[in-house]
Amino acid sequence: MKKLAIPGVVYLLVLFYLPFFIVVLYSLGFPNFTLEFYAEVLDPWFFKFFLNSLLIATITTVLCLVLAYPVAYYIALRAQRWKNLLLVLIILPFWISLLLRTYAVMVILTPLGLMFTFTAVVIGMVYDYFPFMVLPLYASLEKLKRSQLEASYILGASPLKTFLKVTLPHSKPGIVAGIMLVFIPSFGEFVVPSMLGGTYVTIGTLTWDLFLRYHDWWRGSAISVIYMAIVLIAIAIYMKKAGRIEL
Amino acid sequence: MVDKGRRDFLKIAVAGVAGLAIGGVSGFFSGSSAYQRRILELESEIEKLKSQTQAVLEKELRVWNWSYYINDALLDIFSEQTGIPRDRIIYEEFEDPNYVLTKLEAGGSGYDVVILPDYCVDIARKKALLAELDKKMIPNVKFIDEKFRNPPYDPEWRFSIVYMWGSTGFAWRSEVEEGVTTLEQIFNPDHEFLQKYKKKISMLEEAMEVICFAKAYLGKDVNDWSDSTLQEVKEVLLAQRPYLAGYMGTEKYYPGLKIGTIYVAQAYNGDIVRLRGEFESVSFAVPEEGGTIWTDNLCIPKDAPHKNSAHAFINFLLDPAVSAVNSEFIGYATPVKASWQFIEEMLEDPVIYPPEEIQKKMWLIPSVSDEIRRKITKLMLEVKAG
Amino acid sequence: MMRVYVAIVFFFLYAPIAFVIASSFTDDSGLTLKWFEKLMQDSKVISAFYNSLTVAILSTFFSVILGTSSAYAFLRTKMRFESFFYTPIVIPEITEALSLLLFYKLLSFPLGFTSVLLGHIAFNIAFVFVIVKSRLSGYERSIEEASLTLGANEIQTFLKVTIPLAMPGIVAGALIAFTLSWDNFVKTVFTTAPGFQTLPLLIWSQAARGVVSPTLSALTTLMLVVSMILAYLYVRISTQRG
Repeated sequence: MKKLAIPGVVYLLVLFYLPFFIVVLYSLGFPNFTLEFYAEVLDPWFFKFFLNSLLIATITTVLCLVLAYPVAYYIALRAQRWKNLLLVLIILPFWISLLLRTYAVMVILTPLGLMFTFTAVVIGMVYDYFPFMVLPLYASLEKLKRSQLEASYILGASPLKTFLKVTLPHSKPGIVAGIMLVFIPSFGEFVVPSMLGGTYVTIGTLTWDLFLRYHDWWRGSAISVIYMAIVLIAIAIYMKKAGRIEL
Repeated sequence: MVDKGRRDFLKIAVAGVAGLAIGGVSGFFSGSSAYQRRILELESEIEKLKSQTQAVLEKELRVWNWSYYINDALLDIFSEQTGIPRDRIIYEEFEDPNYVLTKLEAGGSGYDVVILPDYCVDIARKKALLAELDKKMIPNVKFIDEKFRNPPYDPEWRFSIVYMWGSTGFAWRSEVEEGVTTLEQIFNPDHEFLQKYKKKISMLEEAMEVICFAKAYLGKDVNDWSDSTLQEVKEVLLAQRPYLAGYMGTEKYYPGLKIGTIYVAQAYNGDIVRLRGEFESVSFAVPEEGGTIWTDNLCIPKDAPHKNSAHAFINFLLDPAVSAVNSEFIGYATPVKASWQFIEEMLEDPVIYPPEEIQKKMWLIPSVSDEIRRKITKLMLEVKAG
Repeated sequence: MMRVYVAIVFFFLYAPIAFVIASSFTDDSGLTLKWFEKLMQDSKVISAFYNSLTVAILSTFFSVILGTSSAYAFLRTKMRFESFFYTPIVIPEITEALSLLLFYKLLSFPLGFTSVLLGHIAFNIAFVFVIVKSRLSGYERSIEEASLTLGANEIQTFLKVTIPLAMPGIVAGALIAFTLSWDNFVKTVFTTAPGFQTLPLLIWSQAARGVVSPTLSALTTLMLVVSMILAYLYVRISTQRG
């Protein structure tokens, strides 16, 4: 059965990891060899970019989780026939180009005087990543049978207790998946902070600038590799500690 | 963008005017027979080259340009003139010329003609990404104004020819009654302007533009790249940063000015001409200390598969009549002096063609070495980090 | 109570959209359908639309197959190094796009539809993997073991038991994969070639000049309406059958 994974693994090896290897070569100064670009990470400005990204990603993820959970719950457990329709309705707005949506958000935020503030970036990010939290949560919650919940009530548990002891644990994998799909990409996000945040800088805007504005393939690659290493190591540590129950 | 009726009219207009231009250019050069002899020489040269180049044109052309930057009808006319099938003329638009450079650096873009701004030509030239132009196939360069000959970013026009040009200055909404007249308002924290419009002002994303303007404010020469000057520039920019809404390119300051998110923007005049069409209460001017004369240039990537068609297209765009029609349609200034007689009203618009006294203070984008470019990068990153 | 909350959420989700939709029906002089007319005549937009659609559908299809099978294998055999599948989510998009471009150039692989599609699939596999895996991880092996005990072989079990169990996860993954592909800009712009444009490329190139032609807003509106109708019809049909 392990064989089932072969197509996926091979595909990624060829079309993701091989290309990525080229990037690693650039980070080492291809066609020469040097570690100077990695050394530059110790510059103070790198940390500022990193911390900004961390802050945005964390707040976005928390807000998304809190706001999306009830929606996912509703669709999974209360909506019955309309489940699929609602799912589609959740995601439809995101079939409109990110650019058009962000412009629209800009139009709304301007009279409120919120443009170019941290709040604007958060609003834009939460808006953009919302379905990425709803969908995995939904997939997990959908497993729950109404009968399980009813059983819990019959046995005398209050709604709160039912939620904490039945619903929440069942949805844990979904929560973790949702966090992964929101936190990680939003860390490297560049469009929203750049359009709504004005001078707000993130790893995303930094990488973008390095590659495209300054045509510095070396530094862009080095920053990417370091940033990715930090995140992947953090994930690995988390998985070790949390055991393999979650995902 | 152009409906059929207008298209037909333009076709006739261009054909007619082109006839005038080639045959009747004598009206342009006043007087002496030496000039008239020269014109006859020019005309026969053009005829000879036409018959030469006709023989070897490839039947395809791929162009990559900014959006809203050409009169589409001209593509039809080019197709008719050269016999290249209209559906084999692929005309596509990019969001950011840096994408063009990146693709070229990675190994090629697949396009025959790309339109690159001056600073990109500088980079592309240094990285050997462009094909050297065969001037024999582009006789119409003779019609271009001397001001654009030998630009610092590409002396002798070896790799690029100016397509359109404009100025960088400042745009403001009507709420800003005092307007923008001097860089003191933009860079001096003690001047009340920055305070008054805090977080409502934007500067361009392009490092070169920001730094050159800062140098103009400090009274330094645009070509002064000494460490001490750069340090002063950095301090000025850091002092300015808290008052800025951000560093924005067109895609941000254009809607920003329109909606009212921003009141003042360091901007390209072409954008403001376009914005004026949608939204009247916006103005533009180059400050008294000067501004950039920017150019967009026609280039042929090294890997272009259809170099002959590419040259023919470039030559076509520089035809005085064609350039006039194009310029009028897109609202930008043309470097083709011979076109100016056909578009006099545009010449009188100070936003499109800045007044002579200001033009004297303005500079073309300087060309810099890799080392200096790296210093600039570092400077801007540090300023952006705050 | 919850219904009210959900309704409010939908309101906020659609508020900015309303703006986009409105701009497709108006011009300087008021209400008009002219943008839709122009849309029908604009071959560039229409071909970009088909390109986007084709790439999105195909990349969803393949990434769902590859992602689901991998998720199942990793989960059931407790394989390690699943971070292997997380890296595409971690990588900054520009880095990924350029790595693909360099890769293709190295191999002299022609750019265009295929190169774009391959890039999209790679990225989407990771997202499908994460969602499907989370969906299946709550289920006990016992269900499948029961199926095997009752005489079905592994493949039959996979198809008749596992897949239906995983279906909500697959649907969720497919929706996300489609959306990511449909709206993708960065990877696409760097792995495409002259002659192959997608919708986001058109929109972004226009936005770079500050104006996005209302024709594109009209297209957007059209898409939304069509999708809503399709989804609604699907619900009607599936409930009639079930």
